[in-house]
Amino acid sequence: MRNIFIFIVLSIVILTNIGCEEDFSPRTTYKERYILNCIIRGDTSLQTATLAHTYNVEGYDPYVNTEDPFIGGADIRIWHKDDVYFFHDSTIDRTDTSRYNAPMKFYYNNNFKPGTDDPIEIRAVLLSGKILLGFSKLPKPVKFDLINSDKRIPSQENPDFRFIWQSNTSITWYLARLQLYYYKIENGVQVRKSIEVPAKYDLENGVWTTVYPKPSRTNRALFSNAALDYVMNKISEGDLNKSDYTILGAVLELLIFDENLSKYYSSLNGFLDDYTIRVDQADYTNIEGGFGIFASYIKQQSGAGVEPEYVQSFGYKSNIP
Amino acid sequence: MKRSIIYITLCGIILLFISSCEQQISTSPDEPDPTNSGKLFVDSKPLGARIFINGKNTGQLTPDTIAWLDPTDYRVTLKLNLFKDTSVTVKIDEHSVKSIYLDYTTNPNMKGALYLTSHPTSALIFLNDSSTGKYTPATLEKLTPGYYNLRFKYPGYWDGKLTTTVKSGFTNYAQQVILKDTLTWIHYKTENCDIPSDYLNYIEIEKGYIKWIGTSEEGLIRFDDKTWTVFTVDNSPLPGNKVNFIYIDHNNTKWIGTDAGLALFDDVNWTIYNTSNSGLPSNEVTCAAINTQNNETWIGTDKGLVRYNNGEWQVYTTSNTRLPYNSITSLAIDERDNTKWVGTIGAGVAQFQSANRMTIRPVFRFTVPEEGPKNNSVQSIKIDQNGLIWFAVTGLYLPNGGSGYFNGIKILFFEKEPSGSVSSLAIDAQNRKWFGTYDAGIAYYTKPWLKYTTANSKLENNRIFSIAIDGVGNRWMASYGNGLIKFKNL
Repeated sequence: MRNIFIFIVLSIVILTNIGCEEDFSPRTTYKERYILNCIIRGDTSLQTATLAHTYNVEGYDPYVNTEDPFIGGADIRIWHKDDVYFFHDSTIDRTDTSRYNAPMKFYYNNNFKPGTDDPIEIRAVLLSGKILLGFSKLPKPVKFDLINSDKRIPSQENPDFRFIWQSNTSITWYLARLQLYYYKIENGVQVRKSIEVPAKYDLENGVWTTVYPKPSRTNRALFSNAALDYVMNKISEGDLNKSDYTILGAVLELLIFDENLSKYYSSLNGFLDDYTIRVDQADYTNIEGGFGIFASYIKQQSGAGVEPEYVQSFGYKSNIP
Repeated sequence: MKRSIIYITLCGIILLFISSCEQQISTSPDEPDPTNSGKLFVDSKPLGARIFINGKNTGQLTPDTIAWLDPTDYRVTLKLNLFKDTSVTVKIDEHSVKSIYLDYTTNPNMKGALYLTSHPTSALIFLNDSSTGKYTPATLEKLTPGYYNLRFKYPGYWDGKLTTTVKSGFTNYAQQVILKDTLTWIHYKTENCDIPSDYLNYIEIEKGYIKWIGTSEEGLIRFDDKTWTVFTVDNSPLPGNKVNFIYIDHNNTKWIGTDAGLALFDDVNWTIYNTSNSGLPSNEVTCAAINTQNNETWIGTDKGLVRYNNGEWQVYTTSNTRLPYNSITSLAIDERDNTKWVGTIGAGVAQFQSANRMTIRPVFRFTVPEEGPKNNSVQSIKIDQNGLIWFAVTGLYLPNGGSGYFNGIKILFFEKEPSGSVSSLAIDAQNRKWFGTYDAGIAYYTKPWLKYTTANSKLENNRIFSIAIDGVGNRWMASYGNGLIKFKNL
């Protein structure tokens, strides 16, 4: 009797330990899915979209696939109010051919410029009848806080050039870029040029490094005086003829993202709110029937003058008398 | 008891074995495949109606097929500009292809109407070039919505034209059409005939009825009361599209001065003279005249006076004659004594008997002598049946030109008569002197002056650049802005 009991106990231990042994594989049965991406720009009438399918590879390295997953021949339309805009497919030369050699394919419509605060809808119908849907609403313009923003470069009061605006909503994300415009005399001809100003120019691990603005939820953009000095030097780097340069001024471009794009950047860069966890880029989607993102942004601009004394300190000419 | 314990233990082993292997793997749900959808073919007459499905614009126009429709009922609405919206419910079955066809043209509810009136009334109405048999005021009913070209005919008047729309279910009360009287004045404009421009510089008449018209930038026009023929640099050897003047010699050869040289046209052949192939000092050719007795041709340019005879070119300027100014504006030859009367910009008239004998005659009446010659430009010179030399004079900077004539001894000048800006001069068979002006219509010399302007006549534009008289006494005017104008000799 005792032997039977021991046998049973041993059987239990062995069975419970070896009975479930199996090789684990993260793969499931492969089923093709579709990805639609389209970011509507409020500052242009040329809009583009891409449509692709998922693919399966041997092993776990997706980069072994060198066949462009673009899907052609689809019917892509955007609804804006009572109007419908059709997208057509086209190709452009690919600059990076490290993975795909064929020209880059995309869909475009060059006659669609929506207003602000307008709802828009995208629908892609594949040749198989598969439908992908997305919705967006163009963001509202923001009101620039011109009282508290700096109007001249460099700032007289602050250690940086700052520009402030009133946020639309607590979840709206922005990207502020500062462009410096100037003339350069090339072969006797005045050529208009521009350069983007980094947000910071700092020593990092003993190396001077530029940090350019990234999308964020903050309602202000700061550009350090060191960064301004950096671009002022950069535009004539290696050129002794400083008087060939005339500084015209700076333009702050503010990109205002819609809710979808804000959520996308929020998922990439931080937390949308206290209850939202960060997810991976590939998992974010607002496309019904597939994956991808359909979003929009608008652009607002504001100009700033560059102090003549500051300009002249670099040997340049100022367009401000 | 022991057996029970063994059974219980064995059952426990089995349960453990089963339950310990249970696992949950999370996967995304499968995407549903497209259903067994149907199609809908939508067509209409006329084509091009926008197709809405359940109130949503598909972006497609008839005829077209809406694909990938799930099997269910759909509200299909067709919207076509000017027509009423039309909706129909369609049931789509699996794998079915349904069709809808809407003929707007046969649906009486789609028709519209036009109410038309004119001034004067009783004009015959033509709809898209077909007579309706109706006279204004009238209502044209049961019209298919669309755009219509209407023409109104009334004896003695220009045809009235109107383009308007008809909309489903509405009567369009179109604006009243004002018909223009052609009993005395006729305006030939781009809006009512085939004349290529309303901006005309010059007119001359050949054989009493063929009108040759120079335009400011559309070339040369020939009009024989029926056909408009246009000569430009693109369809002919005409050297420039800005035609300054036309002179018709006794062989009916047209001497055409342009901003790019001089052209001679005998209705078949063209001969072009310019600075590169002739003795012309400039390509800006402004006037010409021929002495029929010795076949000498005199040509005015902005850089001097030219004599042309038997292939020889002789240029007269301020440097080799007493010519008061090199910019020549007008010419006339008095064949009685071979005197050339040469009008200039701002320097009066030169009475040119020969290179050695030239009398400068100012055309002004001012107390300050310098003011007149500098200001006034002689635009036209004509010799009347009594041998008097007549001048049309415009003020260059001030409107203090006028008209005048040389009586054999001196110039009698009528300051600001008929206007301070007189552009042109023509003499009719009754020896009446007709003047065109830049700002006051036309007038003829009598006591008092008889003037025709927009204020007291049906002349539509006071800017007359040139005037000519045809074989039956009709006055023809080249206007700047209102085309060719005919003032009938009734």
